[in-house]
Amino acid sequence: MSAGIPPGEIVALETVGLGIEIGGRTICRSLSLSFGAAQCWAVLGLNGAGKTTLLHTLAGVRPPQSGEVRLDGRSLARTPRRVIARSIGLLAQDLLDAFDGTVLETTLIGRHPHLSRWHWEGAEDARIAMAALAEVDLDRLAARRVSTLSGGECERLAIAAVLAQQPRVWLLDEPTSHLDAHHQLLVLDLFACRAAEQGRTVVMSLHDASLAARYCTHALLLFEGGEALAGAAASVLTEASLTRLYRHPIREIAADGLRLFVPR
Amino acid sequence: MTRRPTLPLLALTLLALASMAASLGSGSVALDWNDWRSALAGDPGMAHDLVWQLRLPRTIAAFAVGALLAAAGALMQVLLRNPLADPYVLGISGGAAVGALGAGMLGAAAFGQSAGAVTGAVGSTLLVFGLAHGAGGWTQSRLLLTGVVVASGWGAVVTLMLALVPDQQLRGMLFWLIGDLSAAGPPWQALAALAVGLACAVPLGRELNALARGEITAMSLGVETRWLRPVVYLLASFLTAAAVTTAGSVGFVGLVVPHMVRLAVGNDMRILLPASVLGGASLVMLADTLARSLMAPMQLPVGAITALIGVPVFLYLLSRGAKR
Repeated sequence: MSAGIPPGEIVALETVGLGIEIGGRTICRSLSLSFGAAQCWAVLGLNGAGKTTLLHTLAGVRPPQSGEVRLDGRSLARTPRRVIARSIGLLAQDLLDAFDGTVLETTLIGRHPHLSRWHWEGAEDARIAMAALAEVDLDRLAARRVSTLSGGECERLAIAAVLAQQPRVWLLDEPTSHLDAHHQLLVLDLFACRAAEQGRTVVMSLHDASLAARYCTHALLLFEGGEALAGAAASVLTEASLTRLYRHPIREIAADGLRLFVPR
Repeated sequence: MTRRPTLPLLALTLLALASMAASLGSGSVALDWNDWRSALAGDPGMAHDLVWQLRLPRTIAAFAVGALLAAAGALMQVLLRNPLADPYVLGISGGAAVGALGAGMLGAAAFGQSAGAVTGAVGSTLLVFGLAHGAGGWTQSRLLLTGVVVASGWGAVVTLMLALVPDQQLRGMLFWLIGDLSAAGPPWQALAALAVGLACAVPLGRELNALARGEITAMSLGVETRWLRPVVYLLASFLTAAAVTTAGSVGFVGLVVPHMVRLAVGNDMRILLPASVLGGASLVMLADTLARSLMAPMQLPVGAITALIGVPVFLYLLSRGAKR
């Protein structure tokens, strides 16, 4: 992967002394991190470690208990939501849709922050949406109703919508949880390329440390009790740190030039 | 490309016009072509009074009530993210019923009953809003549960009133509860409420589409849900209150019309709202025409007819939609 922009030079999103609590549990305390352009971050942790809560806080849809999140140096709390939405796209986990539309209509909702109140989605928006659908291998289903899609197709549809949003920072909450192996690699490759070649920032929660090591430049491990370990993927993703993270012995195996992490 | 279903909208407009013509054309006195010409030309006489004093206000009241309820239903369904929500689910009609029937029991005339209905509807809206907006914040399920419980509370009060009221008032009260246009006053407030409500709701169309995708997703798309949800709630309540004040609690329109229209035009609120308005207006105008003519000179409550038309049509569309 050729990096057009040297990693880490431009800071897109940063946390300053961030403290998050939910239901009396500390997710992180005084966390100061910079998510730079052309960086692809994996957020790893046990169930309930606070990956989703952290991503929501980074997206500005949930206020932190202390500290702040800054987009281009400006606090999210003081930035209008519409402005945030043009720069930060969030793939949330609630994929349920009570109202049934077509696949293309659902993708077009990603264009919302770019359109003024009176504008209707135009030919250019439709082109962007179709391109996004093609990237996740759904363009042939553009006219289908969402209720006829499988779980994995629904997840790819939600990814297409957040691609059509065209933000600079993507926050993805378990983007691969419902996908088969082929589409897992397709989606991760897609976002890794967006980071490397277009200088975007990607922060995603994953459950597979091997995939994190394969596609991500950086990793953030959320331990229980609000402790965190962040840094370059090569140095953070180790047998020792993952064994501590998952409270289960993890072994590193090298195969085909990849680092695979296998629970013993 | 995005769907812009001009064809369904055009068909609904034609349906509304046809329903309007049917509503104006039917009544106990048959009017021929010459009567209509002189009435429309403004020649004084029986035909003129009949058209301008009786039929037109009634038709417009039916139009406005149907349109108001259908628009309120479409908004409430997005707010609660539940396609089976209707404008009454949060207890607005119950509050209005208690207000109107209470005023009637105290001997108030039609105007007093309208004032009572408005007071009851607004009071119930604020009560549910205040109770649901407690310390835990504003979740769909909390709002829904609060509304449903308050609604059944009103239901209990209404039952108590019906048990206590003298027999000669009972029939009028029952008609009010079913929904009835025969006692409707001038329809202009309802029409004005419709215009104001739509002017507020239609520009919010794309935001409502985003809200239907869930609160977190809507926020991340740039929608200020913190004010959008209360605004939609108050807007739906306002539209419902205007309808209920005009014709009592006409049932089924708010649930069935947005749902039926959705099968034809899809879920885009920018199209669904105007389409629901046309569909709801058509349904109530047709139902009222039937209510006046089925057993003439006896008048039936329009709410019974809307349900009798709405239920089979809805079931048919649903089974057709499932096969697609």
